Order: sequence, then C-alpha cells, then structure tokens
Amino acid sequence: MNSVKLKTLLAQDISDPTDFPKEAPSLQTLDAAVRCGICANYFDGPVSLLCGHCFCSLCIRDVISRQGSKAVCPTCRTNMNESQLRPNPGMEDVVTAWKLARPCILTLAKPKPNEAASAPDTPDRHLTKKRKRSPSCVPGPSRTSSSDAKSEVDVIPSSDAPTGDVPKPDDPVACPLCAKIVRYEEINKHMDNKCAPSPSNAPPKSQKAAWSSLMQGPKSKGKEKEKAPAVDEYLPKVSYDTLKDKQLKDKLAEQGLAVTGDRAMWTERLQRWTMLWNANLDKSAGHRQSRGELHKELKRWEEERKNRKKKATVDEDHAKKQNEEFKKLVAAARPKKSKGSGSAVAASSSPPPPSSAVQPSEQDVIVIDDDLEMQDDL
Amino acid sequence: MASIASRRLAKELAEIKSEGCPVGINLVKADDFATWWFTIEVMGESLYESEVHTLQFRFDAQYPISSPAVQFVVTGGREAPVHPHVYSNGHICASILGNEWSPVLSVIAVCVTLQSMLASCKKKERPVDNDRYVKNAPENPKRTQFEYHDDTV
Repeated sequence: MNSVKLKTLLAQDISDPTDFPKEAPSLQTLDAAVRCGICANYFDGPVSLLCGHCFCSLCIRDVISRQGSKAVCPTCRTNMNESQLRPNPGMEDVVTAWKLARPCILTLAKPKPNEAASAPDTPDRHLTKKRKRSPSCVPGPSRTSSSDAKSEVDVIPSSDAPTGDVPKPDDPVACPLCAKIVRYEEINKHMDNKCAPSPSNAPPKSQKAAWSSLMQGPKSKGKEKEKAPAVDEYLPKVSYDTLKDKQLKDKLAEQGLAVTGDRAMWTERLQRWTMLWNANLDKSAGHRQSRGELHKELKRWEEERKNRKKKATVDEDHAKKQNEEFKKLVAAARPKKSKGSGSAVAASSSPPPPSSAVQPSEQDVIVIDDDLEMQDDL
Repeated sequence: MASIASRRLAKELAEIKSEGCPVGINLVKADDFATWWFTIEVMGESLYESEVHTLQFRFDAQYPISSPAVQFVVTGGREAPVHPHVYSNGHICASILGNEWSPVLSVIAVCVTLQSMLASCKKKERPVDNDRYVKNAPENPKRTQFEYHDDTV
C-alpha cells in the first residue's frame, strides 16, 4: 500500500551510487567517493579542511554557520573553522570527469547480465564505439554547459580533426586553460591575460554599463573601484550586531540585495549571500555561477525560509496551548509538595501532559512505583 | 521541492530500497520526507530478545545539517524498550541525536547505533528521572536539553 507512495518518492530522477549494479561494488564505491557526505550530491565546489576531509563549500559553510566557534568536521569531529577551507580543484576535476564518464560507464555496466542472452552481434564493437564517443553521450547530469563545450573542444583535435571546422570569430569556445566560455576571436587575448575574468561573453563596454546599472550607485566612480576587485574576492565576515541599520542597508545595497523585511531578515540575507558568494568563489572559474544566478539562489532560499517560518509559528501556537496545560499541571503539583506522602500517588495518577500523547496505562503503574520508591528512600 | 533535505532523503531511501536495511531493521513507512518509521529488533542474545520496537524519524528542512527528531513510537500498542536511556514516552537520550549529530550520519546509521545501544544494555530499567521527564517533556525530543553522562550503555 505504501509502496505506491514510496515509488513516487523514488521516481524523481536523482542519481545515486546504487544506480550501479551490485555486481560492480567498486563502481558504487567510486560513485560514493566523489559525493559530499552532507548533501550526498557530487561535490559542488569541493573544499578540504585541515583534517583532509572534503565537502561542498556551501554545505560545510552551512555547518559552520550553525555550529559557530564550536564547529567540528562532520566526518572526524576535529575542530575546524572557516579559515581552514581550501578549494580542492583536483577533486573538482575528478567530479567533472566522472559526471561525463558516468552515463557511459552505467550503460557499459548495466547490460552485462544480458550479454549472454543477446545475440553475439558484436557486443565488443558496441562497447568500443561507445567509449570513443564518450563525451557526446552526456545527456543528464552535467550541470554546466561549459563542461560540455570543454569536452567537445578536447575531442576535436584528438579525433579526425576536420580542418574545415574552424570556429567563426563569434562562436563561443571553451578556454583550454580554465574552461570558461570565450568568444573565439577573444580566446588568445583571454589566455594572454592568464584567464582573467575580463571580457567573457559581453564586450567590455557593455559590461561596465551592466555593472553600473546593476549597482545603480550615484557615486559611480568610487563604486566601480570597489566593485572591480570584488568580482573574485571573498566577502569578509562581519559582526552584523555592531552595525547600525543604515550601515546594514548600505551593505545590502552594495551587494545589490533587497532591503525588504526587518533587521533580522537583512542580517540573515547578508549572511546567506556571503555564504553563497564565498562558496561560489571556491569553485574553479569555469564552474562559477554568475551574480544573477546567485541572486536567484538567494531568492529560492528566502522562499524556503518563509515557508519554514510559517511552520514555526504554528509550532509556537501549539506550545502556547500546551503552556496552559502545563500551568494547570504545575498548579496540581504544587500542593503535592506541601502535603507530602499520600497525595503524591494522587498527583502521579493525574492526567499526563498532552505532550506525551497517549500513554499506555502500564506506564502509570511504573510512575507510581517510582514515586513510592522515592518516598521509601526518604 | 528539490530542497537539499528532500534530495538527500530521496537518496537515502533509494539506497534502502536497493540495498535493503541491516539485519533487524525494517522500513515500515516512508510516505513523505517528513516522517519515517522503522522497526528495530536486537538480533542474537540480549535482554531484548524477540522484542520489536518502532522508531520514528522526523525531518526538518535543515536536515542533514540539523539532526532528525528520533523517538520510539508508544502509540497503537507499540512500546518503547525499557532501557536506562529511553524514557517511557519514547524519547531517547543519546548524544548522537543531540550535540554529537553529524551531517554525514544517516537514518540507517542512527538505527544501527540505537540497535547496538539496546544490544549492549546490561540491566533493563527506565532512566532515574523518567517520571519527572515524561510529565513535562516537550512533544519534540529535539527541544529537550539532554545531559549526556553515561558512556557505558
């Protein structure tokens, strides 16, 4: 009966180490090894701690923000803090490569039991063919389009390298160094600049205009100077409690964030934004999200948070209701203390608090026993 | 809907479905990503032989960063095991569910821990403060500030 609901829960297309057949436990292990222990997804912007354990940057930052100064590594419980986080680009590359290879390996690993059943119709050629084509069979999980494009670029020279297929100046190509998408005519300049994030898709002038329109700052000169390095600089930790309302608002405006809601909300919004921003910087250039995408993510988070708050208020109502019951119980318990022995039994047989739901009557017996024992001790 | 919590729970569920639970642990229901029920039974020689208890997991939106609310079910004829760390209302005093929760732990990991907690029990008794606690216990065990003092059981 519940299996139907179970199936609907499981029907969502979520990849998992158990996608691999049991006959290939090493593949399951491999798939699990490139996943974050917190979110169980593939590492997204993996960072290492001093103890060496690796997590998604956003996941571990979330843990740190919740645990504060007492934060410990989720795996080994050694102390840690935010300053220990170091991006792990090696792991990031592994994840990228594995995501590309996974669908192919999955198809290779799965039909094995059928091999005997299927006609001996050149299964080997099938396999080798697929292997060669590997980068092209990248349907689902690859998150960034850049990784797709990267693999294509990787493949072209290694295969037949059709000479007539030179990209046009306007074609987007992936930088072979940082995998960032750059227009073909700018690729050399981009690489000469050591993959500086300068003119990516938009020409430099319009980008400047975009920035200023995004900031809408009146003091355009000073703001721009502030913004230019901010593109890839970590946001510092701020003790928001010491800031005045005005300063908080300025900080929000600086980041292009909304100033709706109350002070507590501003703080939370800034904190979350800082987390998202810094986590994004832990990714290598090719995997980073744009400012706009981060804004969208922040919005999603705020919606979720709103829903949570609604639930919390319901909980509080519940607590208030119970509070009255508690008061009654406290009042019922008070005279028991002054009167002593006989009434203790009566008090314990009074109705249990609603919080502990329906209790089997057997427990009442135990409760009375306990009380009697205590009196014996006295 | 694809929040971190539900995505992670979907993965745990997928693993339970394909790999099965450890011996003595069975999934009873998981109709949503809010409440799951498991039955738990201590295998082999122990004080709890042939007892089957039901564990309830409740997840909030912050799972797995925040711990699930875990307790034994004490309604519908089900009972909490008699154990020095288990209150008669089903609440469990275990550090792993409180300040020692770690996001890399999983539902199955918690089940196994509680199973071994029962298995290593030497004397069947309720916690000393059972009566006092049960009377005023919050509905959600996560609201209780347990003090973890006994590492032996």
